[in-house]
Amino acid sequence: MRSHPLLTLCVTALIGIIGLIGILNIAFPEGEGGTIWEEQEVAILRTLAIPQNIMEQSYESLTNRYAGVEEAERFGHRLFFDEDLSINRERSCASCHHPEKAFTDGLPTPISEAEPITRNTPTIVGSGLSAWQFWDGRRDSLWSQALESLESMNEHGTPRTLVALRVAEKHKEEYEAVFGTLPDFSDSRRFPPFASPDSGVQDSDVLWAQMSEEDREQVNLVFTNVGKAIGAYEAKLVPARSRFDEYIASLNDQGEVMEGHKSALNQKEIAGLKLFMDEESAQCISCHNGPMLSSFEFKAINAPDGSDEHTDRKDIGRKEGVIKLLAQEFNCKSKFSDATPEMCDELNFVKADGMELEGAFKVPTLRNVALTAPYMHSGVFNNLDEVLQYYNRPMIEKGVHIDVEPLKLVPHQLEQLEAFLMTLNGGIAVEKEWLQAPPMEGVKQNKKYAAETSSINF
Amino acid sequence: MRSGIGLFKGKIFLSAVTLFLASVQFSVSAKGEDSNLEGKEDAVMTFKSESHDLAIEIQGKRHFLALNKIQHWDVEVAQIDGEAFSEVEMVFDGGMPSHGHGMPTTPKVMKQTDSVFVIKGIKFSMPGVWELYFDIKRGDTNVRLTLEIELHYGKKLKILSARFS
Repeated sequence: MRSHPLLTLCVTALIGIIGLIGILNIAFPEGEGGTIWEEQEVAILRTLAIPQNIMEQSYESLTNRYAGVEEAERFGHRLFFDEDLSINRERSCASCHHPEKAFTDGLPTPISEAEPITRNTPTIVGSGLSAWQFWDGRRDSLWSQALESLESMNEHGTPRTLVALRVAEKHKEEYEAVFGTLPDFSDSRRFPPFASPDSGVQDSDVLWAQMSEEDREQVNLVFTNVGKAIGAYEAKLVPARSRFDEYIASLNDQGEVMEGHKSALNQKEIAGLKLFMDEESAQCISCHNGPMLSSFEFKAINAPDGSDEHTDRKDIGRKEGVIKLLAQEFNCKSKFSDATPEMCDELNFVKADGMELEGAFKVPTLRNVALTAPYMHSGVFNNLDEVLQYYNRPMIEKGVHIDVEPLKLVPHQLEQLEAFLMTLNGGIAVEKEWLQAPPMEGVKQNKKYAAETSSINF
Repeated sequence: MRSGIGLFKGKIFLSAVTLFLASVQFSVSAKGEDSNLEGKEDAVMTFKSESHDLAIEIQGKRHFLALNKIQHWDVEVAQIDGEAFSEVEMVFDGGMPSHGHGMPTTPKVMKQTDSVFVIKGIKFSMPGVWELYFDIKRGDTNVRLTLEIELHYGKKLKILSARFS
């Protein structure tokens, strides 16, 4: 049967109009007060909001019984800004983790006086909610992460025994208020300052091996307690609610902004959020989910890797990180952990092998993302536009596992996504005093932060 | 874990699905107000194959089928009439074939009795379609149950297919 030309024209026009409405609905969803979310979408949105009880989701408290203890947090706060914990007394945690940049440093990769560091400084904000630390997850708590940074030649470079001695010298009272009596480290034959099993300082491992087992245990106890104080402070640094959270709180179950509320997001930002949540299109939510907008799992996106400039091999990320995690002495199942081994589910069932681990890195949080440039594990992208452009056309190579597909979004959709990401800046949910160097009479502190942090304004 | 496959006994069924796919009968139930199994502690999935004379009951514990939560499952293997086998071995694996990766964890199968197992350490790290493989060995007989499930935030579980082979 032949169709009438006028009917064909009408049907075609109708399809066109329906299509146009669909496109406009994504680009310009209904504004304030209208229904723009399905009930199921509202349920998903609520899983992304920062809950009141966010501290209960802390992984740090699993292995660190001092997390949430104010005296430990205050001690950790002082240690975080104390340059005397570094071997040359010139570097503190705050040297790379600047509070006004959401505790990152604004550099592609941090400055190191030893070997070049090939990975970007990650934010500390919300990191206590992750089971894994560092880009490759080679540590499974903040306190354990801090211990590596204290001894690493690329960071503080301080041998283990020297950490204990410096704490005994400068922080005895604070230490004992939290952890009890410090051992007597005054006999330098028993406690040689440069003794450490893992510092990289020449002969430190020989000196460590010469110490009695009992003395090594005493040093290890103080060393791990220092890590736990720093971990307690860092775990306190959770993101504050942003405009995005205000927007979710303003929605009723039917996806409407409730009466008496003003939409905290504009139409462009809402369109970006729609794309962010669309599992068929941008698919961001597949990996960036939960209140921290991260699954904290390991994914390979084959982002350009600056490590080739410094080494003759590509950064293999989690594949190497998991080996280090299982071998290191301060993981969840170690005797220094406050968890019992059966509580260490993430470690007990960790994936230790598989081609998908190669070149995989921890999915970063998107909270405060506008403050944490440059981006990716190698700090290769200077701004969010470059990040989104990469996701739109990721580098797909034959034989290389990759967990993302090209987004194929048009320019205005990328702008919408970026506009949404900018709504995630809420700062840090602590009082201002925690974001600046504490007063430390007689204790040398990070000079830069004593002067600059008074201007922090999230 | 109950002894025998006492299907749904003592449970409230407000929603249950029974389907037949290539001689496989499967049922899904959850205690509570709806059939969304995510995070429920008393949810049960049962799969039966007449041709293989096999019934597999999977019972979730904490965080059952939730995304990004490590969970442990009880699995009971029996004959179709509910009689327990004297000796069965089981291997578990899974992944997301469309994404080219396996499970994000290394689940461990622990034998509780001759035909009752607990699989510890299962995790679903992202939404989408997951395939799960239960390899059952009885003497010289090997049977694989392949489950294809779809998980999404805030949505009900979809069992796309269940195949015995």
